[in-house]
Amino acid sequence: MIGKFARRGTLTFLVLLVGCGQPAVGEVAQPEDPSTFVAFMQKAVSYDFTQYESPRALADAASLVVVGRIADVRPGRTIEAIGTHATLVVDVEQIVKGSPEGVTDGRVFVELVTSAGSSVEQYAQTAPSGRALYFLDDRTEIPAKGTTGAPSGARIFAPMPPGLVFEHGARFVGGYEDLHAMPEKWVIPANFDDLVRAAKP
Amino acid sequence: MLAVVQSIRRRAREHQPRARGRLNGRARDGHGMQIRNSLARFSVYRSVGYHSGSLESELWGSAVMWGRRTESPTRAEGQMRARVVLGFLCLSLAISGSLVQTESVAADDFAIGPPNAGWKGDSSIHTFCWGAGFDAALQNNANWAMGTSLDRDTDITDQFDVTCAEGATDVEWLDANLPAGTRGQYSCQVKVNADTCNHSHVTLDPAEINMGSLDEEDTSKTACHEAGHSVGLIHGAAFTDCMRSGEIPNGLEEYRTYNGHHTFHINSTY
Repeated sequence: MIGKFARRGTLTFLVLLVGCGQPAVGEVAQPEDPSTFVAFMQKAVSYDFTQYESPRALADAASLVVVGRIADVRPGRTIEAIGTHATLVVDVEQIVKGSPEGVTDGRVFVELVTSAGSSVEQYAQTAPSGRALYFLDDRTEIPAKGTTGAPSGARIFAPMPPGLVFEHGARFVGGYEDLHAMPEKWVIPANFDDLVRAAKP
Repeated sequence: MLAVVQSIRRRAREHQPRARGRLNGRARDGHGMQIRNSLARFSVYRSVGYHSGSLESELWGSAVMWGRRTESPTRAEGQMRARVVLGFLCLSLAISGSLVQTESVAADDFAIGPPNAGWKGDSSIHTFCWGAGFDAALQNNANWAMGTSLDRDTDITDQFDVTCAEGATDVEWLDANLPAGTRGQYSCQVKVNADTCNHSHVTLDPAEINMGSLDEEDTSKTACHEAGHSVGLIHGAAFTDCMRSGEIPNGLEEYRTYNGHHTFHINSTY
């Protein structure tokens, strides 16, 4: 009899333990692997872009460069002739280049184009939990319609085409662009931290 | 050279009596390895102009591995078997050679949809229109992309629609202030399925394109680049046509058209 109660107790304990480890209702655990998110980025849009010869040269052309993690994905603005956006809410861990004024309460707001291939929901469901390096252009003043997905007064940024790079294991992976097709200095850094160092002015 | 010939002759003599014994061992190995061994030896023999019975034994061994007989062949049988095996080897080499050649033309995926390839157009008739406010100064460049890069040089036929119909017109040309460093953008607005797009937007940013020299050629190059996305091309590592990213290195027409690799992809799909 004691053994039976002990087994039931153990089972109940295990169920509670497993339950406590799950996300709350409505939350989705973010994947570590950025591959699916990157695939949705590439389904959304393709660019012709200026070839910056190195991460440093790209940083020089950017308004703000930060390292951060995606905390949320929200519906964003619609810009005529460009499209409707999803706004990434990014918790900033490091400002690599630029003024802290672009950061609002420790966050930056980054808009990604959505299209027939990628929706706000798909971005939200696949947003990776790991770090990313953002080379950003300040787009706050561009005429747009609809919600920004950001608090009032916050700056709105867009990534430059080769300028969204996700940490992926010991290496890194480009969002819109294959960094292995970039000029040589892009693939020299051995890992994400080396890439961040290479982008510093 | 004489020493090499003598060495091979000596090895051939030593090798001949062992031929049948080795066949049993071969029968337990993979067929491919046996053929490669025979071919390698044949190459050595040929390189010194030496043909001997040991070669026939080797080739006979390759025939034996198919399990047709196990006793030693007569000389006539051996020659016939040798011809069969040599024919097989030549055929294999020819097939593998043609495969390698095909690979160099179409080594990457195409027409399977993003992200591993671009969005495919819905037919070989590629319709286009000017979107609201599309800069008249850019229309020549868009016309170049549709009429020359695609229509003249590939199996695509361009067709201008006076009005843009979402769900009917394949490419709607637009211009806008894109993020810094962005010269052009392609996005599928209405899809048919996971790999085919029905209506897309191509947006040019002349302020980003008109940097440095060769502005007119650069604009046509970006128009060609985005039109290429609208039929399924992606960047890859091709730097010899308009699918390269960024400024063109010179005014040659090759940077405003598609190279053989990309033309092959387009023509084999539409």
